[in-house]
Amino acid sequence: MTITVRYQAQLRQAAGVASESVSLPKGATVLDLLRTLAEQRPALTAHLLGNTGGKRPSLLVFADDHQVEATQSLNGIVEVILMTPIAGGLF
Amino acid sequence: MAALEDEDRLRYAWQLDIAGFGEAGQLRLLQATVLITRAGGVGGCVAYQLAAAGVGRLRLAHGGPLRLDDLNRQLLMSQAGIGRPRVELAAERLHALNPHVRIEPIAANASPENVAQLLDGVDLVVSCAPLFAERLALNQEAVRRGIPLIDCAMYELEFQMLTVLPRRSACLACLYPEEPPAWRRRFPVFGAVAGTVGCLGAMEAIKLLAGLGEPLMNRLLLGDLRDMSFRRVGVERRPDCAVCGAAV
Ligand SMILES: [Zn+2]
Repeated sequence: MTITVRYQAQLRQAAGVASESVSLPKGATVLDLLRTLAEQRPALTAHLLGNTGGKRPSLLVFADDHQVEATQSLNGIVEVILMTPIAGGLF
Repeated sequence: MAALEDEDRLRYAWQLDIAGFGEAGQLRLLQATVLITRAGGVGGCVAYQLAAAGVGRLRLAHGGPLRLDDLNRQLLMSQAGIGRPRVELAAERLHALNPHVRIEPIAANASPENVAQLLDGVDLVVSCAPLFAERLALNQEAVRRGIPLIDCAMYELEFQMLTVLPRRSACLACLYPEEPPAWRRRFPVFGAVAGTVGCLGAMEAIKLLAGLGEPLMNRLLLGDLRDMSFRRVGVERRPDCAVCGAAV
């Protein structure tokens, strides 16, 4: 299956692209997607994955406009938004 | 219910005709107290709009003196004010715009130690703080007291906004169950981006106070001004949320 990944905030700079298409085996989960992306774009690894290879807790993942957990299957999903937390106001 | 005075009818004439607002909505604004923290690029814009709209009392929490590199986005400030406390400069500018709004300047940023005091007696919180520790402390106290909170954030040409209606919609801790890592002080942003999310936050505040329109509940608004895309993504309450979950 093919999923469009959109990068927001700092991730866009780390990825070097705003969005891309990614091919995944059927039944792949959010975590499978993150590991695939980290392999293809090593600069993303620290943003997507924690030290033990799981999803980085602060990473926000939205699949077809709904927040999802790492274990969620991506079957039927068209677009995934990945986002690092952003803050406001400035000091 | 009290009636508007003649001067108010004139000052707010351009908004009194808005469908669903009217004199009743204006009275609600005049009687409201809003906490805005901080009053920089985003919060300063929120405060400016709420003062113009006639919110009765604005409590501004913002620490530190004005620096030259604040001036690309902090529009309540002025070149002549460099070195002076920012919250005082903000209060002066707001008073010059609308002398009827009562401003409570507090020269400190929100922290777990002072949030109880900051939220005391307020009807609504607009959080425009850069640090997650600050935003999450405001969120926790707002949920505990049942006070609605609007959280505004920005990065580069992007922004986001979330409205928290305590125990009715996802809170900031539902979105971020773990505190994200700390940021460096400066991150890239245009003043116009800060102003955009500040105006959106101010409009959301006016709506909530006046009972107008639909609040942004269970939706995170994402905007990217690089390609002018705006979208709302769904965020749900977490049953195990440490702040608004069933066990709290
Ligand atoms: Zn919550």
